[in-house]
Amino acid sequence: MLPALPFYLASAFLIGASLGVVGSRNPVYAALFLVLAFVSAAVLWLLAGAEFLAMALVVVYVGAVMVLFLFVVMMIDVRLAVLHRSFVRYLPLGVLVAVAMMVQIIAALRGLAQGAGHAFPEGGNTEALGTLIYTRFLYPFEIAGLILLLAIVAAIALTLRRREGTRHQDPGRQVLVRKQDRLRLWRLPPHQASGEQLPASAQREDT
Amino acid sequence: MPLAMSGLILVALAACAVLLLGLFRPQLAYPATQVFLAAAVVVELMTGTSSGHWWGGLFVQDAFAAFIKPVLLVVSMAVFLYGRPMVSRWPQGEYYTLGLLAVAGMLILTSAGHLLTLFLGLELMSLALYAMVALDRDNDMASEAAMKYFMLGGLSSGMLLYGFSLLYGITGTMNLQAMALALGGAGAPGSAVVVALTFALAGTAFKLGVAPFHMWLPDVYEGSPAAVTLFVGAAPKVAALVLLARLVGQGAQANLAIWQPALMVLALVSMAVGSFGALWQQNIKRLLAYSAIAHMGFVLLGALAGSEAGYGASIFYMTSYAVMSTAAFGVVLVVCQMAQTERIADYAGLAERSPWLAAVMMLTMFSLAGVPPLLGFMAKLEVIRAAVGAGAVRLAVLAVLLSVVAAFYYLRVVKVMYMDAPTVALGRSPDVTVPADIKLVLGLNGAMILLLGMMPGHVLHWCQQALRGFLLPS
Repeated sequence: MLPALPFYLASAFLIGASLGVVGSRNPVYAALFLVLAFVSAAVLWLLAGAEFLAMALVVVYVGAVMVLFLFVVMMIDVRLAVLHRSFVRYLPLGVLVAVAMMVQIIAALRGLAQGAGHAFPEGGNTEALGTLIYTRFLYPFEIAGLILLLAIVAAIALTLRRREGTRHQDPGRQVLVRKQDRLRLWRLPPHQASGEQLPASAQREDT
Repeated sequence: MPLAMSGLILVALAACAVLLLGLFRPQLAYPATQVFLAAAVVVELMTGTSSGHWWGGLFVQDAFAAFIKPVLLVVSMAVFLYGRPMVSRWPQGEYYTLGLLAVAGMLILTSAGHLLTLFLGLELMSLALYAMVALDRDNDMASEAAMKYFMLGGLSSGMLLYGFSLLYGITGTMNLQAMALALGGAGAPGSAVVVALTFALAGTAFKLGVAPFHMWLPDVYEGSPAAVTLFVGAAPKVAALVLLARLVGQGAQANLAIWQPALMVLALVSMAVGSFGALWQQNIKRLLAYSAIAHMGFVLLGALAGSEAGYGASIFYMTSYAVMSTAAFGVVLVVCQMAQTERIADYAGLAERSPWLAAVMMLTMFSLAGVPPLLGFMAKLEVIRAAVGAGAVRLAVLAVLLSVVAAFYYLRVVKVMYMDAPTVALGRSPDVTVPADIKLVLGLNGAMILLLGMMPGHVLHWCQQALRGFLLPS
């Protein structure tokens, strides 16, 4: 029991967090529960010896995807009542899918129990994956890099647009501004009241 | 690193260079793109003959790739040339970067002997195309078309990938040659292979725009700005045929009995949908979309033979189609600039207004209809010969009959251009001077349709040569 304690602990957290995702009334809580579920799943993978997957899960899903997701959830107006109505409506379908998945997983595990054990590569799977990616599969890896470049260019080209007539800041030009551009000193005769026309005698004082 | 990869590397570097150039000298993005592409053509012609397999088939250079790659590059050059006046208001660096990345994706796909690079190349091309359709942000129809294209394209990629994963599960290899041997062996379970090939074929048919997987095509063709429609309709079609040839032709060459009936159905349905669907179209781009569907059916006629000669006929047909479609859209683009119209009725009087354009369009339409002695006729003759050679005589007869139906709507365009009185759109439009280079290349394009139709020998010979050794000796 005791050596398996971390496994049961992480599993319990995972199940509890998953229920929290589905059950919580506040979508922000649901998103935070999902973060907890991801972390628990990462712990499970770590226990199974798949340390690279665990790291990737934490870095990609917890670090990037969920943060974005939280932003979106906070920015849009989620109608909770509508959400809950659809929850009840889709419950039978959800239960059906869950049962089907359960049956499949049990069937798969049965098959696995008869099969051979896992062969862990020497030096951990991070090293093994890295060696493969940077040697045999360098070419597809580079193509994936091109696809990412394409995604960046496309996303920016599709979202960044300058509309005519909008007022926007240009920080670069703001920083470059000099005193002469904004400040003008005028020498005024002392008796002149403020708010009137500048007299012709007023002279610009160049500093 | 293989020498044959130089062209691909050049195009990928060009994409990065043009991206930077677009930031500082946007007006140089177009000439730089053309210079890089021209250089890549030269490099491909010089290094393409060094054939071989690298990294377990991830990169393959054979006679097939050596023929297809220059074709893709030259077609892309013509497409960029015709599209330039229309895209001049768009972000230059981004447009040409996306275009070059799409070309790079096609080159990767062409040289793929492995499921992994086949898929990555296809995705690199497709993702660039989705973004190019949506690049004109002030055009609502284009955004809608991009959304449809993206959704259905994503769906088809998913199906293709599912088929790939099943094929990998069955054979235990992603190398296409090894896969062909494993699938031909006695160990492969029949029903699983059927499911896997069904998914793979459905995904490929989506990319090729073959009925009944054609629903996206008319909407995307109509909604996209004409310059992008031209891009989508030319080189990526050739790339999709390459996908079919590599995946089904090479990878599953032993399973002819499974995919030949499927290709026959796809070809017939596609020719019927394309021929009848176009009859009622009022928009020239929609008409050309249905025409594309019909032509893809003809392309499959050659491929379903499953022989090297059959694929040779298919490649010849596809190359001819790329030439014809480029010419047709080139004229559509000029008229779009001239009269801001895409209605077929507005082409009335084009022959008086600009005899040169009307003549090129007439040649193209006759060629698409398959009138001898033009290029389209020779191409149809070759694929029908291949289909008859494969024993599909009834299908070949139906193909001929359907091409008669299709001739009706091609001839209608010619009739409108030459015999109808000009409508408001063309009559009142201001004089737009067509740039001299576009005029010249359009003329060359039209001349190619005529001359290659009369003397197809050389190109046909190249196509047959390119397929020599494509299939494993059985």
